Amino acid sequence: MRASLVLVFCAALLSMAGQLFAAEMIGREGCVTCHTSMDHRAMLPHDMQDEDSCEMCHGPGSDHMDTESSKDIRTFKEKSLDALDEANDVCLACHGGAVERHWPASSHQAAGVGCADCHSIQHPGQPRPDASDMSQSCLSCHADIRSKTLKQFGHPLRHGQMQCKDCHQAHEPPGEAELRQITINDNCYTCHAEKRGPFLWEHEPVFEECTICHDAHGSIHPGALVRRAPQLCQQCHHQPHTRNPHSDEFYDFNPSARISRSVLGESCMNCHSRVHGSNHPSGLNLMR
Amino acid sequence: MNNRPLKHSFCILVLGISVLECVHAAEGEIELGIGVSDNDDFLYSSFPGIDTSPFLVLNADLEGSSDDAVWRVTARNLGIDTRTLAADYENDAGFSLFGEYWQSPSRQNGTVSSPYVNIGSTQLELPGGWVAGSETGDMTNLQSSLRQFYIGTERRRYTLGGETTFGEGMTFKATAVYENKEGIELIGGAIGRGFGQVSPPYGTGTRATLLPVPIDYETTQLDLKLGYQKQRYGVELGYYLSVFRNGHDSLSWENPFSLDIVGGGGGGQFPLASSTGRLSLYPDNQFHRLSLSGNYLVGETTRFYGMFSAGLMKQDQTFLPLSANPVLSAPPLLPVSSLDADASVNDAHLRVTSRPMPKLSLKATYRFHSRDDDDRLLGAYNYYALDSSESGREIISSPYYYRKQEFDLSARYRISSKTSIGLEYEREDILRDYVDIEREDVDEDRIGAHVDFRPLDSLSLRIQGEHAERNGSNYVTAIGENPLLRKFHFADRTQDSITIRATYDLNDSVSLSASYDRLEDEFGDTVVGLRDADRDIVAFDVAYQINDQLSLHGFVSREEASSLQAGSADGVSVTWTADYDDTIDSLGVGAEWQAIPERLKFSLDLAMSQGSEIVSLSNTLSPVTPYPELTSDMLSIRHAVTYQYDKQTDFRFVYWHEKLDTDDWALDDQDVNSTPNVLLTGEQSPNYDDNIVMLSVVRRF
Repeated sequence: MRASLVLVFCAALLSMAGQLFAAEMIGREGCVTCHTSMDHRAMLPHDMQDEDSCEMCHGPGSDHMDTESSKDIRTFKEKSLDALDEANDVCLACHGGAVERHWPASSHQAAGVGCADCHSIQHPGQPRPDASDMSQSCLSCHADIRSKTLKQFGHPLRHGQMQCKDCHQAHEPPGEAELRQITINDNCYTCHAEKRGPFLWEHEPVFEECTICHDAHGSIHPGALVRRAPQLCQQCHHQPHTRNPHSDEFYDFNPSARISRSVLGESCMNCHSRVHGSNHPSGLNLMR
Repeated sequence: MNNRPLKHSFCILVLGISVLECVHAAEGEIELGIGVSDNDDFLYSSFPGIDTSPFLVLNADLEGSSDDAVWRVTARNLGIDTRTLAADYENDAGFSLFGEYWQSPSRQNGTVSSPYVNIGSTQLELPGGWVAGSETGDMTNLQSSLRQFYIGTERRRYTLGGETTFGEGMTFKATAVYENKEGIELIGGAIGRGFGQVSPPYGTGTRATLLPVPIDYETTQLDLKLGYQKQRYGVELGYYLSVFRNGHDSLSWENPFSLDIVGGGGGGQFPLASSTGRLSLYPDNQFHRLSLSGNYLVGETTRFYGMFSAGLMKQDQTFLPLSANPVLSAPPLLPVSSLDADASVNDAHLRVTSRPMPKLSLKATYRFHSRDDDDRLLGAYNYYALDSSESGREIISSPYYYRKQEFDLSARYRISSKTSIGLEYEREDILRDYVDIEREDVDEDRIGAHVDFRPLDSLSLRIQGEHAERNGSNYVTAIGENPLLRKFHFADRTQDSITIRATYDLNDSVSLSASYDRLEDEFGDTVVGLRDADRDIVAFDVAYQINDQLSLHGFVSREEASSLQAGSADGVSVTWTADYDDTIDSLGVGAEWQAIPERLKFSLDLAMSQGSEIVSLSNTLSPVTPYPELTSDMLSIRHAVTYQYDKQTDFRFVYWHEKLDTDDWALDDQDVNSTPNVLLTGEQSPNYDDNIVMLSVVRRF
């Protein structure tokens, strides 16, 4: 009992000491004394000209000013999971709305991603990653996707003609795979509406998910296919020699052979060119 | 080069600057200069748009403000065909406007050839005196009749939108997008003995031609959202419209092959070959979607979210005739003149997130998606598969139904400030209902776990693993298919994946990270089809801030993907297998060096990718000719020197070298007549080695 009382007393004393010696605000002028590069023009919408602008996010700076240690200030680079949540809460305190409502459900939150991992507010005019660099911010973590974007066939991400954000929404995931639209196909149809149909003759995987045959992030096969035709087609169409002109042989590389019709040029699509669907009354085999 | 968009862009830019100057608070920078390219191969590189030399370098970042509003204008690459111009305005009253013009050409390869005299038309005509042949080698005046053209398209997109708040928590957001796509693509057209005939030789007399098809697409989208948000709850009503219009409904072409083809496989002479073929192109279509979503915060840490949407896909284009073959007697009338399709698409998304304890986060999600077009029964009719004789087989377009449901439950618990763990369970249930469906129900259960561990202030680790099992109802092979076949998106599957990531900050200057991803698919019950597929990716990244003047970053990664596919030529047992091994090596290096602070800066960006695919074959019935190795090697080096003349002015010099070296067996060394039964275009895989130099002035104000 006596020991408990001593512990409680010590805890209270420490708490009071903490209050007594808590860091204090030093104001913007104090910060830019050392951080001279921050003493530049206003950065919209984070107006760095306000007196307490730095410490609104980084917290009181007196201890950090005394010790010059990064441990005495919120740097937004902390690795501790507690500090990460605190840092994110600082951002979300102002950036509420849809971001705040959806962020707890996002896979980025679950993966321990901090707002400052992607956003930098300390470059003039760049509270968000610059448009041409935005994808690089994503790809610095998504190394598997980065490798794909360097492949020959895919969407033009490498030189900034498209951005990851054109399809994905990192904060508000209304769709699967954190896509902007509700379904994968809805997302693809925003640019490829011609393939939406409905068609008289559908190719069933097309209206299910485009990703059954295509890898949108990049491929070494034309059309960003996951496998080159005719082998891709043969993974689902493998008919014995009945009622069709194909045999189930392997379509090897023999340009002079009759089967080269299904290998060279557009491969199976030399004839079955309406592979995304046909609206021709004679288009049952997706050839019209 | 088409200068009209450039002029428009420039005018808009000037207008934007004028507006900003008017408010007397504009600041930002404009880059203006000139660039030259040593040839026009960039025309079909991954960064097309530089189709003339010299070209204008014009970029801008401008912003301005008044007491209660902010403007921004961003322009990229206005001097070339790959350009973007965007502007937005926002004021303190909660009103914002934004607009964008975006243009992007897409050209993969160089020139190709075709004998048709009116490329760009939807009624392709052969030259006078054309010598038709049973095979391409018999077309004696083919080479002298060839005309060269580019395959390529260009997209132009115009976006305009705005958002306003009014009343207490009401917001209205509207976005309109208009995009057109124009150019020439290739499409295969076949004429011959129809597939699906009831007697042999099943189309062995078929001949195909790669045809230039003109592209003229327009897509208009409208997205409206009306929201009401209070502290604890909110609702949003949305309407989305997408209208697609194709300027061409069909492509017809004169048959370059002779009409006296004798079918192989024992077939007789081709009796009703057509001198003309006709393909349908993508029909006009519309999509309407109405959505309602809401959120509700219970207590301080539990939030409910729900979204319901109902969509309608419409398509009512008039059908083409059953055949374009003038030799045939008048084809029978179709039961209807158009599909008049109304496919309904319904979606729901329900979600609850909660943090019942400070260290515990929970999430439960349910998703529903269905597509139903059960009104497409037209009645049966005979068809003409390839504009040849009537198939003699009645066909009927039957309804399609597809439904997917997903249920996901996940928990994340923070054991300490350095460690958290997460668990996840997901179930996916897919129902398919249409003619010849092999498997109506397919279910997949997935469990996953992850650990985030930050043992040091400088080190973070994440390990994540998943295991999934997919199976379903009885697999009934479709009529005519090999009974051993299992389609890979229906088949039983076991999937395992693991991800390991580590980031280590050696000090304030050096950061290292490494990651490893492995995905393993095994289709246990599949005899014919895709039997297994593995993928491994390992990557290393480094960032090094050597001093205030010099920083380096780089990455290297290797991706290895392999898969095994089996086939059966006799329909009884496996007679061939193919092993695919893909390897992709990637390397990136970037450097920035302030050689003279606030005066002279050098930067370097290098990206390299080397990809290859090797196919190993095994065939028990006959020797096979192996495929050549498929390769694609890319190197891009961009070097910039920026000299800061004064606080307002920089001079910038950019040297950009890009090289692409590809080997593609489907294209390389294939002339227009290399294949007897397909008239190709002589398209070759792209190879280029280009240099670009740009000199510009950057003016800040």
